[in-house]
Amino acid sequence: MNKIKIYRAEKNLTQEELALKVGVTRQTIIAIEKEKYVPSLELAFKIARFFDKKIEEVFQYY
Amino acid sequence: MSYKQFKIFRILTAFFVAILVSVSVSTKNPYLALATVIVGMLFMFMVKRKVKDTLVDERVRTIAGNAALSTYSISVPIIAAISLFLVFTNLSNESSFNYQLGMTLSYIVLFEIAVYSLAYNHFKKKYGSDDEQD
Repeated sequence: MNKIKIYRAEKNLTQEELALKVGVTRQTIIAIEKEKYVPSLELAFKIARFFDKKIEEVFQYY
Repeated sequence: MSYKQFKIFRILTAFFVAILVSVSVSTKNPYLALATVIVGMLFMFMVKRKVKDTLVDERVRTIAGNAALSTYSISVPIIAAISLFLVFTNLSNESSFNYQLGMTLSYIVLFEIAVYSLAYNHFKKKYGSDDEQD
C-alpha cells in the first residue's frame, strides 16, 4: 500500500503535476495510487524525496 | 507541445496516411504508398521531439515488454505449426505454392527466434548475467 494520495492532497497537487515533477505519465501515478502498478526503486525514491519523506513512510509492503 | 496535442496529431497523421495509402492501392501506385508512409513516419518523429510531457516511462516499458513477450510466445508456435503442416502435407510436390509458403514461414519463425535470442542476450548482459560470481 502507499500514501501518495494523502501526501499529494497535503501539497494540493494534481496527479498530472506530480507526474511532471517525477518524470512519469499521469497514468503511472494513477496506477500506483490504485496499487495496480508497483514502481521501481528509483521511482519510489523519487516520489518519496519529492514529498520530503522516507521511502517507508510513502510505501509499505506486507 | 502537450500529450493531448500529440495525440491529436497522431490521429490526424494516421487518418491522412490511411487515406493516401488506400488511394495509392486503388490507383496501383506503390511509390505513393511508400512516400506516404515515410513522410508520415518522419512527421511523427518530428512531432514526438516537440512533446515536453513524458510519453514513455517505466510502466509503459513494462507493458510493452510483457506485450512483446506474449506476442512472441503466441505467434512463434502458431506460425511454426502452420509451416510444418504446409511442408509435410506437400512433401510430394515441393514446387507447390503451399510447400513454398510453409518453407517461407519456417524461415520467418527461425528469424524471429534468432532476433529474440540476440535481444535476450543483449538485455541479459545489460542488466547483469546470472553466470557472474564474486
